[in-house]
Amino acid sequence: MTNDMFIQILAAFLFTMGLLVVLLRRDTIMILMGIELLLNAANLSLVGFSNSSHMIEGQLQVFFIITIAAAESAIGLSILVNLYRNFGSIKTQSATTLKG
Amino acid sequence: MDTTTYSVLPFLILISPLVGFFINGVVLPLKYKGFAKTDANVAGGIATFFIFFSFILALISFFQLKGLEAQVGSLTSYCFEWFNFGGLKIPFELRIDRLSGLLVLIITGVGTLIHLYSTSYMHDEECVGRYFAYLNLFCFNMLLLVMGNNLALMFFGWEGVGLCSYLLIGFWYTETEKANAGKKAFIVNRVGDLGFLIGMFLLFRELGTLSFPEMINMIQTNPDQIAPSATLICLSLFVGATGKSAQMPLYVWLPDAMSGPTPVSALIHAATMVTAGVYMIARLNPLFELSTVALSVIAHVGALTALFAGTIAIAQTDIKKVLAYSTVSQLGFMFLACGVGAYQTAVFHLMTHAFFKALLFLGSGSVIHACSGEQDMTKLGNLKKYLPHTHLTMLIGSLAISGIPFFSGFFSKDEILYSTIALPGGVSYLFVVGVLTACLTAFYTGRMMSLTFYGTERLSHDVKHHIHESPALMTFPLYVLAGLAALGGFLGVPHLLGDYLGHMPHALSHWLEPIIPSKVLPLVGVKMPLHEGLVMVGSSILAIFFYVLGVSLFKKVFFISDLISGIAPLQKILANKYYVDEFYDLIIVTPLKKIAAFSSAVIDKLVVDGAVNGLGRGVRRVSTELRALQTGDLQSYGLMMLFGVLVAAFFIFKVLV
Amino acid sequence: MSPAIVILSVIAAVLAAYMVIAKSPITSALCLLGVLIMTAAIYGLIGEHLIATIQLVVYAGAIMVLFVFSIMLLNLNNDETDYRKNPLIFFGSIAAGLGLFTLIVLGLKEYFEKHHAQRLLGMFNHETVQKLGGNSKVLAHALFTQFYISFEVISLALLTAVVGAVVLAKRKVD
Repeated sequence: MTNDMFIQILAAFLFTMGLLVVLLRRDTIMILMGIELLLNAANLSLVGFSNSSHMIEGQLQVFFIITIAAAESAIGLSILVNLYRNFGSIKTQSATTLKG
Repeated sequence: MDTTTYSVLPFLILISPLVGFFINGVVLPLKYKGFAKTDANVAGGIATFFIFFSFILALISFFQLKGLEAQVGSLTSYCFEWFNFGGLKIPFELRIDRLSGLLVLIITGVGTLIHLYSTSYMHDEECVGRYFAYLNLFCFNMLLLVMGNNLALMFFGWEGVGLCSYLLIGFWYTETEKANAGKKAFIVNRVGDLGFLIGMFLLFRELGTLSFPEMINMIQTNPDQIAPSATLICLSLFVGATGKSAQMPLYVWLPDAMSGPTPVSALIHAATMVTAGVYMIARLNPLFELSTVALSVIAHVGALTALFAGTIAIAQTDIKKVLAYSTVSQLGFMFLACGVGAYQTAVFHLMTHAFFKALLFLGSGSVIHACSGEQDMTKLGNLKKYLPHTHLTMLIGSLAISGIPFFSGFFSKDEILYSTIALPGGVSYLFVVGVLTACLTAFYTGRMMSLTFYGTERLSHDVKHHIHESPALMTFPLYVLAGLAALGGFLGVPHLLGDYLGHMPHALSHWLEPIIPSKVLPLVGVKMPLHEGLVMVGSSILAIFFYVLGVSLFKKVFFISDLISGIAPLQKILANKYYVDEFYDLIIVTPLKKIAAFSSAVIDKLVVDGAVNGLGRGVRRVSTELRALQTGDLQSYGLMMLFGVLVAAFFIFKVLV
Repeated sequence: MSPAIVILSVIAAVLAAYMVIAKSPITSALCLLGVLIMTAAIYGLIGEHLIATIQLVVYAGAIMVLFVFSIMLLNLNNDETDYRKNPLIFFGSIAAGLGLFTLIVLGLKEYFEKHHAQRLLGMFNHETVQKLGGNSKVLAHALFTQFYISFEVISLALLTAVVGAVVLAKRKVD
């Protein structure tokens, strides 16, 4: 098990954990944090492959992803504030108006 | 060689009553907003005009045909291509040749007289416009049946006349019994039509064509091709004829059909529709010649029906029922003639029967009209005093039907009787049956005349108060038909007599010779040996004897059982028509009704509705279950998406790669 | 497999796992912070210095601060803040997660056993990068020459995000 593979396995694990956070936690803000973890895992994988293939495009992409993640988290938190205003709480179970 | 001239006459003859139907049935009701407001004279006048126009055209085409070559000539109208796909080619073609020309003349001629009569008879009815529309439609269909150049067109007309028969019998549909009679006629007819259809399909399969000239050509040039299946085809076609022409066992509709107006009975159930079966057999006679079994069946069924109906007729009290059973009996005679191979004779009898039976029916209509609707002969009597014209014409008609010498019935019936022993297809016991039936015919006709016109007066007070001779519009057709009934027989004088009376030829057989070849036997054409003369003389004597017996016996009594008391139980059976209707009711109608009830209660309500409604309920249940999937909860959606991604990834990478 | 990377990975994994089951959101936020820092350390150890710095400054320094602010602002009470207990969702998610992890690892295994040896290498191996002036210089050069359009577009995206965030969060003036 080389370094490269180890980093990839770590990225996969972080990705799974991020997914579990998104699916299992009850607050909307936790979902946003899970999304950050997911993005981070993807970044790790990209950097790992960029390093092992001796190319720099992977790192450039990580640069952009981090930027976009920042923008996205800002907007996500604004939406969260709106959600709180409209439903009175940020629990995911309280925003089920699309229930069939 | 069959040469044919293309002419527009057949088409015009066919279309003229149809135009009358449209005017009476569509245009006038639209104009007057309903059938009830059309004036009887207007409707009747229009209808009579159109059918009379057809009659004139028929006369013109008759003379044209006569002028054509001595070899077979015909007038054909090709209208349009009706069907043409997959080897099935049915053009809408009409053809007037010697056989159909004769029938067209009968239909239009007798039809005109009956239309004229109806104008006066139905004068006080409401919705007269509907009546005349149906009558014209009937004429259209009958003409199509007779003039159609292929079997499919004949079937179109066949069904059409069945339909018009239903419409006209059930004309007074507000009375349930009359509506039921119409239904019965149509349903029993349809049972027979199944046989006709099967015969048609088999013919098409064997010969590949349904057009008459082609079929007859193929049968005559290559009989072995069709000989094996000929019996089956002929028997199937005969089943159809049984239904339409009221033979055993499908005759039960004809007596009930007397619920309709009397002119309808005269036109449809005496002169034209019921003769369609005979026409069909005469037209297809090369085919029927190939199967001795079928011919034998036809002859036996015809003879049996004739005798059977004759025995019922002597015990009836309703004047129209007597005539109805008489019609069944005479049709049996015609089929007997066909069965022994004497097709020309059958057509001859068809013609004379049209004359005298229509006359008898119209006369009985006149009696009913005069007696304010009284049809029961036990309440009539001594009408000779009040209805002289009716009496005279009906007397001529009854003499004709009984076979009194030199009236028309004598010639045709005599030919039939002789052919049962003279022709190779004839059998001696059929001769005995024929003679018996002829005696019965004379007997019950005499009885009918006696109970109605002679004897003691049994009229009720109201009837006697209103009794009057019929107006001229009704007696004129009666006289015309009486003339035809008296003199029509001279068209077919057998050579034995013809030589004595100054070389009168058997005109009808010469006319029909090219279509229906005369049998090569001493029937018509050669000097007679002794026994034809014997038959003639013998039948004349029997006819006169029984007729006079019938007239004299029943001046005072109604039934034979009044004279010979021991026959009372037999009389009861006869009067109840051998309980045939009750029998059919028991074995066919009631089980069918039970099956229908079962079907509607169980199969329709439970199975079909259950399946359809159950499907709806099931869908709703499934959808209610599936609705639970849409929780509105974001994370469960995400979970489901994840599952989908996993399945897709598995599929792509493990299965497809 | 250098031991430093192993240790850092283990700590990151444990923190991420704890993030799922932690009771209060602040604990989860701190665990996330920990994961980010460990990841940045790993970047540094394999020679990606610029990315490591950016990760620490932007991710750990700005985004996480924003999250912690929001959690404080929302004043969540501590009941009912941990993971969903509905058995269907709980076990389903765990199963799905395990399935996903297995799939990815299997895919990785297959790649590393079969294809890794034949991969095409770019030109930026360690020596070349050092010769060219280090990781930051190489990346900056690529960013401002070859990928400058993307760079400008990213700036626009950031501007849009700022505007959007302000508009969304504004209190409607009644």
